[in-house]
Amino acid sequence: MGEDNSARKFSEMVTQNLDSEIRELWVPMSDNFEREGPDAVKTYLDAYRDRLEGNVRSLLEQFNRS
Amino acid sequence: MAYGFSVQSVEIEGFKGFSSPKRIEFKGRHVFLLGRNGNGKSSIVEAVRWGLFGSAFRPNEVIKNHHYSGDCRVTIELMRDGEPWTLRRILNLGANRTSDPVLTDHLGNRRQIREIMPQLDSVEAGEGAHIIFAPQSAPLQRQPEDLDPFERTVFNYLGLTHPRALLSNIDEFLEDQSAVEDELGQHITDARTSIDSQIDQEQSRRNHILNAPPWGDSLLPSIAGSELKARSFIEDITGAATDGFEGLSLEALLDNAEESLEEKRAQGRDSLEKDATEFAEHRVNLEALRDIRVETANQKEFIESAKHDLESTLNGVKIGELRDQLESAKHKAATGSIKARIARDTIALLGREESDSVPCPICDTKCDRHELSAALVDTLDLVAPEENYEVADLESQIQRSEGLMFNLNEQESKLSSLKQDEDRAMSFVSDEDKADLTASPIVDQLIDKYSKKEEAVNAQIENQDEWFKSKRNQLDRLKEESRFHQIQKRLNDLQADRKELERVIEAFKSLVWFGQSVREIREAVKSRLSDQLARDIPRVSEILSDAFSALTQHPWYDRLIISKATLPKLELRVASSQDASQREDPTGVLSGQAESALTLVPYFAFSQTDDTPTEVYLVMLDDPTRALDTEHIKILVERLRELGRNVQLIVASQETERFQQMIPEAFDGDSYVIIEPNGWSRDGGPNLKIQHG
Repeated sequence: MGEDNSARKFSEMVTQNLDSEIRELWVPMSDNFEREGPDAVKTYLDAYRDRLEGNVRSLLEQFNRS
Repeated sequence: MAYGFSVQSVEIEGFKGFSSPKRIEFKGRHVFLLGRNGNGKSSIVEAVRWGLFGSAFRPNEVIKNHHYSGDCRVTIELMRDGEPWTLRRILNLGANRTSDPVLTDHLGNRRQIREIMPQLDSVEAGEGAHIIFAPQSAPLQRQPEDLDPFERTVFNYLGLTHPRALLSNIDEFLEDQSAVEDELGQHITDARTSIDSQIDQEQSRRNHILNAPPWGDSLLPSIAGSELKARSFIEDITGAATDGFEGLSLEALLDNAEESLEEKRAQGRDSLEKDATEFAEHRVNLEALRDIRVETANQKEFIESAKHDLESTLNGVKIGELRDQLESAKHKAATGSIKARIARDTIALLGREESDSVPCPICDTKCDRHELSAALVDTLDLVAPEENYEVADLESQIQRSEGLMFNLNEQESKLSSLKQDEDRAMSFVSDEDKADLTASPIVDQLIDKYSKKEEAVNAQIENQDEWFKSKRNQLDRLKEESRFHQIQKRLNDLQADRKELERVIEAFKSLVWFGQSVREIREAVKSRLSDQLARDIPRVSEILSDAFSALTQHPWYDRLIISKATLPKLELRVASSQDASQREDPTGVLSGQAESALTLVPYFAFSQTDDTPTEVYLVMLDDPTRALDTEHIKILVERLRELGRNVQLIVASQETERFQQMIPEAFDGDSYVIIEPNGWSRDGGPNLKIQHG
């Protein structure tokens, strides 16, 4: 049973269950999932979160310095 | 063994117990590794596993043999369609324990493993379609994930390993996400609480000032207006222009005003207080002088009176003469006393005489006793009293005179002391006042003069105090104005900070939105995964049940069922085909034998049912006979025989004797090789006894 095809089918089914706003986030996740596997999704999410978290921390630091 | 690669040989070097290079020929046959634990069976299984997948069974496990100076290397020779391939893996030095596989085809060309063996490249060890690894002991079976090996095998069979791993990864991500949201949320809440509290506090202080504004009914002053007031205040105090104060802040101007006011107050008051003290000293000294002079006059009167009394007492006689008179009178009185005593004694003597003529006791002349007695009585009456009275009078006069003289001396001494006091008081009187005293010695006029001066100075001091108090109030109002401006500025700064915090909050909302979106994605993934599992579970249960029934031959429990209620978690239950409604937890109802066999079920079940060609048809089982009795081992060997028709087996077991007996009965002689590690040396590694069928 081919894992790759299965991953593609699976991600397509998940896509159908998401509204358009969330789908925008899911599309790059599913690309990573299909092309590089589940670990790549975690890496993608971590990087995405790191960027947002870094922005908050940076602004918070600026605020604390002021 | 129709499909894919088969393992022809494995060459192990510097891996675990292999302290010298060792090549083991499999020749594409089934391999049975037999012998006691600790002799190296598992090392061979793990070497094949590492050679194929590049990962050790346990995370961070040290696989390199430290006694071997060369590389840690495993070379696997494979065969496909009669063509030999080589897969070689060498452990990289360093802490990450990675390795690079090198795949070479039958022509000696290097090929990409991803291209030739995509499944092998993409799946974890133990999860390949037919690359199955059953580890030795139960506690070590669990992989560092939220799935047990049974679930892993089922998910793998259904082609849902990646979706299930996706769900696990999203769960892991969300755990971190929640921690980050909590931590940053707390920071932001703390900051917001702090800043809002400060704004409330400053607004309260501002309102307090506005309730009784120091600028009165005037319009709210600007900072420039308050600065102008401060400069005007300083000019008023110092009488000088404030041109040099350009550029000073309101606070600095008010500090300067405070300093000027205090300086002015100190200067004026010091001078006046000095005058007041001086006038008071003059007044007090003159009052003392006046008192001394009054007392001196009185004293002189006392002395005159004392002198008069003394003179009256002495009555024109000097005290020495009185003392002479007293001595004389005392002598006379003493003589009279003797005479009187003689007279009394004689009278007494005469009284005892019987005759009237008696001799005189003094001159012995015959006298008439009565006449003599009468003469003696007369003598007594005339002499004695007068002499005594004179002495007493003189003594009294002398004593009184001496007292008066003493008193007079005392008074004169006191007068002398008063004179000294007056001289001393006069020494404090100014020359001008001395002249006034000489010209008109009326001290009271001078006292009055100084009293009036003193009153005038004190009035000046009081006026100055009033002035200072008024200026102080004015300055305090200016300071309150300044404080108002400071509060206003602080409020503006805090409002600016609050706006900046809003930017942080907006950024945080994006982070939270992201987390929430991933949570929704997670729910969608979980939902789809559960749907797919629900669709496939009945079929899987059938396959599992067949394998379970064949392996255990349990008299009652012959069905394995996966509950739909807990999906995507796969909870295995056993049941009987005679009563499928009774579903039990296997650990509660199966014997140790059946439970051990249960762990092997998925490998047998799925390897027999999948007809899809795969890259490497290989089943590796490490110690599948653990806790099995002879009957179950016999069943296992029978199942292995059936399994071995489709796949190459690598099985390690410590049941040497039973396997040695059963394998030749179950397998064709040219289809297997038995390897018995039967000793180990530090230099040579495991000693292998190899027996072909």
